[in-house]
Amino acid sequence: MRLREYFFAIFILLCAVASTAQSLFPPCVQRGATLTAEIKGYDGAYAVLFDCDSLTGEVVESEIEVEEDGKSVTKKQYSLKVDAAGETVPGAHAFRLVSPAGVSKLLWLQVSEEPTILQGTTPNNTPRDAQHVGFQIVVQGKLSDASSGVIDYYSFDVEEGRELLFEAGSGDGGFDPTLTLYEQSGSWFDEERLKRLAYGDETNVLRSTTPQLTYRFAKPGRYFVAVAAFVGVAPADAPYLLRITSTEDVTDSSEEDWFTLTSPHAANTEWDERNFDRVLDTERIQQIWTRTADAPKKMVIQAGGAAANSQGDAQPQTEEAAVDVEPSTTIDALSLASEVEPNQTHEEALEISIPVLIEGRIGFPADIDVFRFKVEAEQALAFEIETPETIPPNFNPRINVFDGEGGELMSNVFKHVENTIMINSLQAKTIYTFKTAGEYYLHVRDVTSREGDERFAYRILVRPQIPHVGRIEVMEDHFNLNPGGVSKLTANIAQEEGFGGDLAVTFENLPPGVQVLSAAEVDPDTGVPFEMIDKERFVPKGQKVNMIFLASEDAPGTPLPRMVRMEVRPISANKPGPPFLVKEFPIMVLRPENKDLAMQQLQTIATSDESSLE
Amino acid sequence: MDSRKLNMNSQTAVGDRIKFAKVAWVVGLMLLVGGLISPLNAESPSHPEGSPDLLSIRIVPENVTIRGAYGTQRFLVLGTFADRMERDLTAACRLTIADSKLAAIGERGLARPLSDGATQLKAEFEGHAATSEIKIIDSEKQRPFNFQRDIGGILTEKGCNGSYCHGGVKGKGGFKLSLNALYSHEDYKWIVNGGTFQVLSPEPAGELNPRINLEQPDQSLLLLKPTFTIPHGGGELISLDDSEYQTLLKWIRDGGRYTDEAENHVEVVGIEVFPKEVVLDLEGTRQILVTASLSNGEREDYTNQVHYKAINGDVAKVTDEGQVKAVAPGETTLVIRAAGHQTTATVGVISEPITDYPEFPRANFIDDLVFAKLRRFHILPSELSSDGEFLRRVCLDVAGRLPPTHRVKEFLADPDPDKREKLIEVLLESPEYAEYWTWRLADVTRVALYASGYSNKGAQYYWEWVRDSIDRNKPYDQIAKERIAAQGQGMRNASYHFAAADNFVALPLPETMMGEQMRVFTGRRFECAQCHNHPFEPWSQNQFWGLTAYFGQLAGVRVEHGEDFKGILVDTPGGGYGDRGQGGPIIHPRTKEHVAPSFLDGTPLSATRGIDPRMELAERIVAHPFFAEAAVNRTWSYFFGKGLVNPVDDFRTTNPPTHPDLLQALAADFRESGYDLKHLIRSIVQSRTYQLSNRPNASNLADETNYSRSVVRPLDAEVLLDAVSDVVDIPEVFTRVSMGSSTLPAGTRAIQLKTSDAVGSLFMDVYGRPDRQSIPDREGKANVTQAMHMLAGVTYTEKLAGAGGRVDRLLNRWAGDHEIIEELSLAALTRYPTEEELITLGELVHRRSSSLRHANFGRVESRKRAFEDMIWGLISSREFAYNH
Repeated sequence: MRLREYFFAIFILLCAVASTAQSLFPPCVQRGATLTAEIKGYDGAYAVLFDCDSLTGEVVESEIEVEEDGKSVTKKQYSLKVDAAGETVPGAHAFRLVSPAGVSKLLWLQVSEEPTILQGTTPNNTPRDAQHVGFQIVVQGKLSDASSGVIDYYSFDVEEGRELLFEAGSGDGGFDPTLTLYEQSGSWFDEERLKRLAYGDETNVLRSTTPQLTYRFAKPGRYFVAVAAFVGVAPADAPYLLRITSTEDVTDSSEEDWFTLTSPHAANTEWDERNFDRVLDTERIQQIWTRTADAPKKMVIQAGGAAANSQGDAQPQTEEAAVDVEPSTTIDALSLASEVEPNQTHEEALEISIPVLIEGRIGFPADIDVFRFKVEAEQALAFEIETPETIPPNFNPRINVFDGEGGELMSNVFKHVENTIMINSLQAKTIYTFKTAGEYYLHVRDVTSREGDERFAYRILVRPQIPHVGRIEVMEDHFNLNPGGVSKLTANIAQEEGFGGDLAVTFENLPPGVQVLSAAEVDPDTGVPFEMIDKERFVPKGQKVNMIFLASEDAPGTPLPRMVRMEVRPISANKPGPPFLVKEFPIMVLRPENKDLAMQQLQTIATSDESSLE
Repeated sequence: MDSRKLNMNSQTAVGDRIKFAKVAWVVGLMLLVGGLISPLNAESPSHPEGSPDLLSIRIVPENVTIRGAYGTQRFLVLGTFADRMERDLTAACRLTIADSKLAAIGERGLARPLSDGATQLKAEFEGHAATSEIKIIDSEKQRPFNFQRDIGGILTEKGCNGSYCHGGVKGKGGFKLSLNALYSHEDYKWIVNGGTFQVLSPEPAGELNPRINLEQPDQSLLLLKPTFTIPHGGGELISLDDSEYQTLLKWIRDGGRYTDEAENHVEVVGIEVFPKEVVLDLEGTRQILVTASLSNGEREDYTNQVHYKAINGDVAKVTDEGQVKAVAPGETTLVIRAAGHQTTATVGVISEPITDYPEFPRANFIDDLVFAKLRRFHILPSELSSDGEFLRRVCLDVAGRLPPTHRVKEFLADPDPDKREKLIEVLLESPEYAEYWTWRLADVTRVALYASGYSNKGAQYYWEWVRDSIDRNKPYDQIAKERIAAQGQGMRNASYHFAAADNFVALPLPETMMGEQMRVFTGRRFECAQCHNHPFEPWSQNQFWGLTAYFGQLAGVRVEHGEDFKGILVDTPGGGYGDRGQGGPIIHPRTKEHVAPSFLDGTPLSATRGIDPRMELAERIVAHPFFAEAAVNRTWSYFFGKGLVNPVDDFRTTNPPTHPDLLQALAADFRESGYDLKHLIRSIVQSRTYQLSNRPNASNLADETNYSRSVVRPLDAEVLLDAVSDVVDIPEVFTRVSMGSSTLPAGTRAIQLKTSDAVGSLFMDVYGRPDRQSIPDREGKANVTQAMHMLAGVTYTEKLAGAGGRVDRLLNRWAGDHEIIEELSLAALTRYPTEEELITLGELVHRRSSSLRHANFGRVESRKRAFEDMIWGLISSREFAYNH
């Protein structure tokens, strides 16, 4: 049963009452398997919306007998039954629940490659009581009372030489798990004590709440892994997932970021200009143009070789390639350059012509890659950096531009003041206007002098500045309106590279009886004056747009969420640019009859589906 | 429960506990100072009656050249006696010059030249004779004048430029001199130009009144003050007849010029003292000889041109002429200062010579060197410790905890002669070793919540770096390099010490970081040279800021991804510290000039290391002899309660090691082992020196310097708390009180705390837990608060009364009183109780139990309370609270 009208697949069943804390447990399903998870905090839920077609499910209402004040009381209990098709991508998936209170925020369901098991019902808070598990498994547990020092122990057996990857995450559990690995070797003082082998509290990404720990076991035997809350801070019964896999079986790179896999549907509208992991490719400039008020341009790409250095060591093989964009006029040519060692000094610098997309690697510690380029007086350039393989904080590229005499003109280090503290932050993009025509040198290195290897790959796009609309950040991700009620949406709009035009904001697929009232305000500049700050090179000017969703008194109910498309058209010199999607989000007008209407709608759809099948 | 009853019982309990404490005190006293009343062991030699026989005499120096019209040479006649003592006979013997036309000899052995030539000095005493060859050159030629040697020499000899006089930080009375005439150009400027020293400016303050008067030389302040012609805070130091006065006057009359050694092409490159080590009996005296080595290879008697000072005047005194006199048994350092140079000698005063000194078994080079000094100082080492003593000591020192009772029984019963060596290896490989030495290293590297900018993650990741270093037995030079030159981010990275909070609020000033690193890894305190040249040592302000400049490029950089961010520590060429908005490159506070990085010896930063200056500094530090010396000295202190140089981070010329050869040998061994901490620890605990008993004998009763017996040391707060928990067998419950409130996992030990300063513990505070805001100095001195805590503190009351502990377990299986007493003694003291203790304690327990039963307590409860009181007595005793 599938509803194409909505972006998410929707499955429905029953309804119910009020709730307290919101949670789903267990929160992980193996692909190709079915999960039944208890829902808390969404009483009366009757539908679920997933972010992909391979996940399907339903909300099940049941009744249980509980003791209250010495009396037996019947209460309703809600659970989510999920079927994960075999082709479901492992990782974190988003879903929403629909209840009489409306559509929920985005909730997360983990899909695993490995079988899942539940933590046992008997306490496993000491090594002696450890729950024995295998590996290639996901354990779904709850830390009962971390603030009282409670730790969950799991034991497992491994053979000699096996390398295992341990990961833990709490999802919405609201705590920062830690992992500690032990062996049961005992000691002269205490034959039963565990010997600590490793501790994990870090991941490969900046977020440190999903620890990863890789360990190769030198000898066979029984080992233990303990899940705890960092400094004991966690709510009672905080849920967590513990994944134990053999590294030999982790072949897909996405598997390494199991907890951080972004839902494909949730991410598709995100425009990213300030993070090192965004993709810089030959289409990047065209993508930027689509966010301007100008018509799309055609660009020629000069591809196929390394840039030449001044000693003529590398010979670029330039050729033209067509670009798959709607052409109108040709404005420039993008050259592609690959770094060739040695290029440590100005004498060895590789020559590049702008605009250029450079690919290179900081191949060894203290490696510096130097490129030479020419600019005209007052030429305004943008420098964008991507780290396609190893991202910060492991590879932190620093770029500097020097003149021929060794004077530093700029870098991608943004110096600014936050709460009276001077901060240097490494930026993935900076802009700079060259006062004087001439030859300049671009240096690329890791910000430390100790890091560097073949995985430290970078792409740098050096291009003319293009005033455009940057990231539009909308914090709200769903709306539940009562008839006659209002709800506010705020969009923070980045005006990149001097964009000074206006924006036209439109919403498609609003429910009947819902209208949008809008008002714009200029984002005040709250930066602290400081002579070292060159803020505009790192921080775009901002524009804030406020919009009010107003449901009329007689607006009909929205039994199932409607996905509203928010689009923006840049306007410059009284000329509108092409519209582009900012965000899709669900909206509902709440009426008591919503659930019944939804049931009818779904019944109708189910019937028609069955008819069509016949 | 009735509160009055509770109070009454508490009072009763305290009273009874005092009785137990008395028993424990007596027991402890018997164990700890039993040797006080015990006679010397069978190996001790008998003391010869009457005066010892003189075996031979010798003259020092045996061969000497006296140069110049004013050259002199002090001779020393030493007699070797049958009691193995060497005594100064210079004043008692007959001294004659073979050719009296060439030289004259005074009665205290001072020879003066008369004419060029070669002759002999002969000494005769009680039928013994010795000679010394003397050559006299240029007897009519005066040595060229040299400001530092001649004027600076007088100022040094008279103590004018001492640290408590004009050589102090700002000088005295507006007159500043460098310590020991170390910076003679500056001294000359202050004398000739006048003016008052300013800390933050190279310019003089006040009126420029020269201290010499070229018009009226005898009216110069430089003469009027020390002769007390006009008031002088230092009193009268020279008289008008003294040669020093004449030298000063002549210099002023000659125009007060600065003539340096470079012009004369001869410099003093060092001074040597003879003997380097003096052993005196209680009546003994000894003349000290000081010889200067010159840059032209010649040597010159400097005995009369230096300033002498005995650090501990209660042991020995020294005259201005360098004659040392014994005062009382003990050991002191003699500091000898000459212009631009200083050295030390060790003076030991013994109570009684030991003629027939026996040989003692030795386990390794540590014993060779320790026992050799004991032999020279006529001190007998104590006997080897008992197995129980050794077991307790080594468990506490290597693993930070008491041995469990079954292991004590096992070890004491084990007949294997190699059981100590085997135990050492077991302990070194134990997880407890890793925990204990992580705690030790975390002390030195200051792992603390506060020190990490109140960042839980930062502090804990920093702790993980320490732990990983110990787990992997990382070479200590690598640990040092990682700490000094920390860059980057992450859990296994020492940079978290500097950049813990990700926003770098904890990033200390460059001079602070430098000072700390040098203190930890070279054992030297450079901080005093921050504002001025070091007042006690030859460390200049320029050296301080040159070292600081290595940290001048340090900067914190943040990487961001959405709302998440992480701090990375880097060295930024040309920017660095200025990135924090607190100034640019390092500026010298006095000269206001930019300072380039340079090492102690002035070596500048290599051009190729511009982007990584701290790594070069780290490499220079670990390659310097100071590094290994500081490391072994600090480690030594963990096992003996003090360093060979003490305090461990205060190596100074004026604070020399008690065993310089041992320090060198340990350092060399440490270097050769690849800076292997485990190897160093193994060497120490395997030595007989470490394994000696704490029971003194008659010869080493007063010895607190030479490791002739085990040093009784208080347990550190964390170790003591863990020990108390182990004895009662009730784990301490730790609660975080800073940056979050949560209970730590059950069974967490005090030494396992990652950020101890975030955990509340009155017990640990009372017993000296450091907060690690600065490099901890665990003195462990007993205080009144500790006594009060023993009486009424929760650790000593509630913990003992806790359920499920050792006593409960024993009572639950109906163990007899003697069995329980034995178990508690093994747990707390690592030994079986003596018969006397068994009887006395058994009676006390019985009485206490009976009185409680009369107070209507049940039988089991009464016994439980009685044994709780006994435990209280045990853990309140010195025998328990000290490692011995």
